[in-house]
Amino acid sequence: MADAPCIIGKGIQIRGNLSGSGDLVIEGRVEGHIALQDHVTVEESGTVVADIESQDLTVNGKMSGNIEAVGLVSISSSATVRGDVRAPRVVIEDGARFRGNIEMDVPLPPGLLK
Amino acid sequence: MANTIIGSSIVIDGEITGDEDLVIQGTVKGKIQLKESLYVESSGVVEADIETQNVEVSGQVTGNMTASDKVELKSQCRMIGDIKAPRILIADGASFKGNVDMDV
Amino acid sequence: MADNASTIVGPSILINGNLQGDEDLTVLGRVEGNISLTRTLHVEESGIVKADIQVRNAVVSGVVVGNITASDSVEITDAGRMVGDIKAPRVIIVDGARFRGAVDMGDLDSPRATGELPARKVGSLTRTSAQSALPPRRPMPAPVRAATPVRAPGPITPAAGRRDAPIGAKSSEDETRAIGARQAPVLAGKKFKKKVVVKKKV
Repeated sequence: MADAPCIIGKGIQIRGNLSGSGDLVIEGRVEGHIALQDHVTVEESGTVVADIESQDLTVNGKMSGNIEAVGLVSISSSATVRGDVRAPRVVIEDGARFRGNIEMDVPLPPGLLK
Repeated sequence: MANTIIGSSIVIDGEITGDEDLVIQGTVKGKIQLKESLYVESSGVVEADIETQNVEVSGQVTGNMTASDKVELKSQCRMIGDIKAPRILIADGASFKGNVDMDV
Repeated sequence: MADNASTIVGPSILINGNLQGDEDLTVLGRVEGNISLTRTLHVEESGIVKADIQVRNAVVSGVVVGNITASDSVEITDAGRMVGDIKAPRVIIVDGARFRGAVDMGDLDSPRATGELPARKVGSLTRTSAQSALPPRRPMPAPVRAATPVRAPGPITPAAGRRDAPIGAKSSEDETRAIGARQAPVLAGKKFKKKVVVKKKV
């Protein structure tokens, strides 16, 4: 397991698939598909046009694509996200811009969904 | 225990049921079924059939009332409808049109 | 009169039908049908709302099944559970909340709504809009909550996200107590008045 996160710097643009383990911080631009076993962070300067699968995801920047996480997806106050999110924990901070579906497990009292 | 208050700007069209006191300051149309007391305050307007233990009317009620204990029409109230209850109090100044059944 | 401008649906009450009004509505019981308010809807932890909802603000700490359209904001707190779609310029989902449905905040390129909310008249006796731009979770004095940096700006790490839970849990306890305290005088007055009348007449 990588100790230091991999950083995709501001000047970098990646088009293609990104996969593996270790934390990833995106400050530049990624287009394609991201599948990582650890924490992905899209920084404020970052732009992602890709579906992302990861353990956890924090979005501070712009992202367009579907998200599937095992843990927490956090869409922060500076983020703009278009896409669907599926994760057990999803946080949308005040100020975040988001459009899409969110799917968490919702335990409801019996008989409420007819 | 929390009390239920229907505030003066609220309009409910439907059915209210429950096991606690209900205070109506707004408008309720439909049906009210309670196991406790209903208070229709002076700003309250009720167009509903009512089934409760106690009713105290200071506002306007149109509909039939059945209370297992007591109905009280306060002065200034307006009540149109039939009342069925073992105890019925009508205050001086209350206006009331309807039948009274005390199950004598 | 200010105290009257709030409607409470108690824990054992079920309302089935349409409900509309120009004041805050706090649901501790159950409401099914349609809700249309020009103010804030609070669904408390014991509250269940199965309805299509149109409000200015909604704060969900209980259960909501149905769609919410809010002209200002929708917040699902850490105890809230909701299935349905949300349409509002400002949507907040706190860690611990459970939600399934679509979120539509309108034009994503428009300026962020933060700080643009009109001053709340809600509970203005006990809270000023300066204390928080968000609607109060419950009608209660706000200083405790205002002093608590529940929604710190900036990125949340997973660890930081978890921090929200105990804070939310604590404040909901406080708020429950606050509700009881707030209602007590109303109730007491009512009961007292009633007793006096009964004695006189009987």
